[in-house]
Amino acid sequence: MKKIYTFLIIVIAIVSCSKDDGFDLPIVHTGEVTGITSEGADFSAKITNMGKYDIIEYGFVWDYKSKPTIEKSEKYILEGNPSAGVYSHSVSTTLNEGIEYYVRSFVRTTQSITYGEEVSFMSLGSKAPEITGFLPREGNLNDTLTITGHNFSYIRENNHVMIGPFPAVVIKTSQDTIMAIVPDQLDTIAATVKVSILGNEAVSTGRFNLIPPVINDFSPKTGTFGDQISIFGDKFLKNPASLHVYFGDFIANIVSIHNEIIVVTVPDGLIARNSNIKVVMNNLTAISAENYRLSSLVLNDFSPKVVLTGNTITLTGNNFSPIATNNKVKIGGLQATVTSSSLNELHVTVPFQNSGNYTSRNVTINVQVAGEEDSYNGTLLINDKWFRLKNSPISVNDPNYAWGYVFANCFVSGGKAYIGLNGKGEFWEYDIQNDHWKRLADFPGVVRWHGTGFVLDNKIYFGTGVHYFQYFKDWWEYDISNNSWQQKNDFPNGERMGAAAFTISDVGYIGTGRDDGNHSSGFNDFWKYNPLNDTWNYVTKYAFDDYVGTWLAVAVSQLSDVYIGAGNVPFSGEYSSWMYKYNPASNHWTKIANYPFAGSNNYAMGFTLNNKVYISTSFTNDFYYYNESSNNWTKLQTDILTDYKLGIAFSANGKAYVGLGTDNAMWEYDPSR
Amino acid sequence: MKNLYTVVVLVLLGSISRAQLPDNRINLSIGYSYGFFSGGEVFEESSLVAPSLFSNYNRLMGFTLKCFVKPLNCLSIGIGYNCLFASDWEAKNYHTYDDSRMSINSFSPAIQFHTKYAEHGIFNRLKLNAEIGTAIGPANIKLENPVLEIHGQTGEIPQPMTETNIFYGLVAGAGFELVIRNQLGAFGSYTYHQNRINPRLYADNSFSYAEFSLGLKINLAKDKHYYN
Repeated sequence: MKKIYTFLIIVIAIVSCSKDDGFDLPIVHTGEVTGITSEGADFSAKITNMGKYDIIEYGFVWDYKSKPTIEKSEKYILEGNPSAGVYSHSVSTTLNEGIEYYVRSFVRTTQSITYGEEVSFMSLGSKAPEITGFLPREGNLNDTLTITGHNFSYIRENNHVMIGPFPAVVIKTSQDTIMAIVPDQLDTIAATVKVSILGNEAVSTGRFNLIPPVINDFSPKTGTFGDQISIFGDKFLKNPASLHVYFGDFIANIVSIHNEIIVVTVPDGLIARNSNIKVVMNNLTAISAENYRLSSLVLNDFSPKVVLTGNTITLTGNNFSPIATNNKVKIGGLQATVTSSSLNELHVTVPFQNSGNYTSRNVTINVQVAGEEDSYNGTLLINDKWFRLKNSPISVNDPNYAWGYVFANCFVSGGKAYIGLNGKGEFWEYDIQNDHWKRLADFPGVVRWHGTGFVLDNKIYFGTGVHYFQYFKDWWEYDISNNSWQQKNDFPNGERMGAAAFTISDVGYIGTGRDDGNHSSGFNDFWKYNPLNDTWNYVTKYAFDDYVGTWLAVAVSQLSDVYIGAGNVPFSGEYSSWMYKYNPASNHWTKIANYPFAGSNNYAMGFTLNNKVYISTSFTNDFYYYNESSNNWTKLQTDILTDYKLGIAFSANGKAYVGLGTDNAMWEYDPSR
Repeated sequence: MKNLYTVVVLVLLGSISRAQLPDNRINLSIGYSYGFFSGGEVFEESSLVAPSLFSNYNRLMGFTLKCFVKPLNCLSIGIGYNCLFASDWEAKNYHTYDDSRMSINSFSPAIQFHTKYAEHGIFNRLKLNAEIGTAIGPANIKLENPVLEIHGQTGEIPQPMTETNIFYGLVAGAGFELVIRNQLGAFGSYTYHQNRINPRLYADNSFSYAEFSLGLKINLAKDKHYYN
């Protein structure tokens, strides 16, 4: 019998001795999902081979997609060391109702992952996870909160964590732990912590408390921009990115933070003299009981004292704002641009005159910093040759009134200019010395365009012109002394418009012009007026042509001569640039150098200054003056920054005045500067 | 096939014995076996419910060898060897082990209780028996489709597709032996096997099957009996 058993054992050994490869790794088999209810389902599996490597973890993975994996799918990891045999787990979260899930058991070793058979089931839903606690209970924004509990999802996106009303970023999850960042929008001291998975929400019993800032005091209470201030409080966050200090609405630069002291610098941008100090930490704000006060503005001096517009001046003092634009500087009422600044010095560009006019050439400098305003002692002299005066009253050149006082007539007498009469009946006196405008008696005649006249003694004579297609030769006298108009004998030789007029040696002359009939090519006659007996006498004819005259020409008197030319000449080309000098005493015409502007040289204006004739014509802003000795014209640098085309020009007391036209601005030209 | 065997046995039983047959002491039997596994589509173990490997095989057949020695008139001891092949795995709700095949080699030391030898009559020719024994042997599975997914550090690792496990269990059965000639006879038996197994490629931890065997019996040694 012994032989039989020996034989049996040998046979079994031989039969069973076939080689089985591949069993170094664990083998696990997934069981059917059972206990499927609206509160979850039961998973089971059996480890049939442990393999030869250490098992790190084992459990189940599941997903709504086939082939769930431990990397991408929901999972449950069982605790403890596994042994061969059956293990199971009741899954009560992360299962959505009506979804077919795929489940696999798994065993992971240091070398491999083995997934068991895949089984599927139709979920009826699951319960909420459970929060058992969280840490820390008190903290700051962006701290990491560790939430402990049960049945959390391994899929990070499936765990929705809310701290207060704000979603928290989940950085790590396991079935019993969630690590989330305290949202930086959180702004309530105490907030509940919620975890929801697939719409099932668990709420913490305790609340997470944000640490609020506390200000006990600060020092010093007064100072200037950039000074260091120490703020005393408690539990200050040491991360400057999470703590902000404000003076009023302006954020301060933080020098250092300690648990109980913050050192900051007074913000350069501060624009209020008194500001409370706020510490914002964790979206919670602490406000100082007292205000911080900026030291008062001190103005010392400025230089240079004489400038041109556009120049830079240096202002010295104390407690200027280091931010240039926060120092408001006005020079003569005009806002100046501060190009650079420090606590003790400002560099300021003297404003150009296009934006407005200075109150006078000698102006004060006013500085405003952080709500405090002061002015320098002494004045700054604006020494531009061209200086903008006060604008004319709006009705002088009402922009709503087409062509307003374009082509206005201008007469100078006794240090005052008399302006108007063109296009409307208004007549104005401009007090040159006082830069003052005064409206005079309206012109009683028919309102007209392109009338002309001159000043004799203390009276202004005015007439001719056109109103639509009606030409005039009526003649009027305005008495400056009593502000009254009186009609005189008509101009004797035909109605006309655009005539040239001038005064030489207390005699007034009028000539040229045109009408709409026989003399549409221009008159060439010149007449002089005798105010004593209100009579007219023929004097000469314009030198251009025996039969053809001109209109809208310019006539500027200079001592005993008058310079006449340009205007509309009924020939094209250079004729409109021709200029003549006429001497009434000798009744002699001399052709001089052509006016240099090559365009339409009508609607001209001009003045004399220092024995020079200055003329600007038509649609440019350029003035040219005539050089008698060299018989040529030189362009004058006007520096006028407004449009004065078709305006007025006159001189008085060694200065010239130009303005109006298409703008209300008036400019003074002082060649002595 | 069953009907044919039945007819043969009845003919032999009904024939008139014209000579006295000697009793035999050592018998060797060899026969064809056909069986079927018992159990449902799934098996349960603790909380685990999984498709059964064994009970979903639709075909189980092979051969059997038995060798018995009769130390006593009514008792023989011996050993049996079964070699069965299972195939045609089919489950209603699963395809886990589709196309797999299994071979079961079972060695079964057994005690057989049988009818006493008679000098005359039917029991001179026919012996009814019942046996009980233990079983041990290797069961070899060969899968056609992988059921696992194994990832190693460098990629997917193919799972093992074959495995041989030693099972053990109990065997009980009943049968008959019919002597045709002095040294030749036939036998038929029904045995029920209940085994435990601890496999790795599948989750079953036990299997049972019933086996019908029919074959020839050879008398290797005879007892001497003297005629009265």
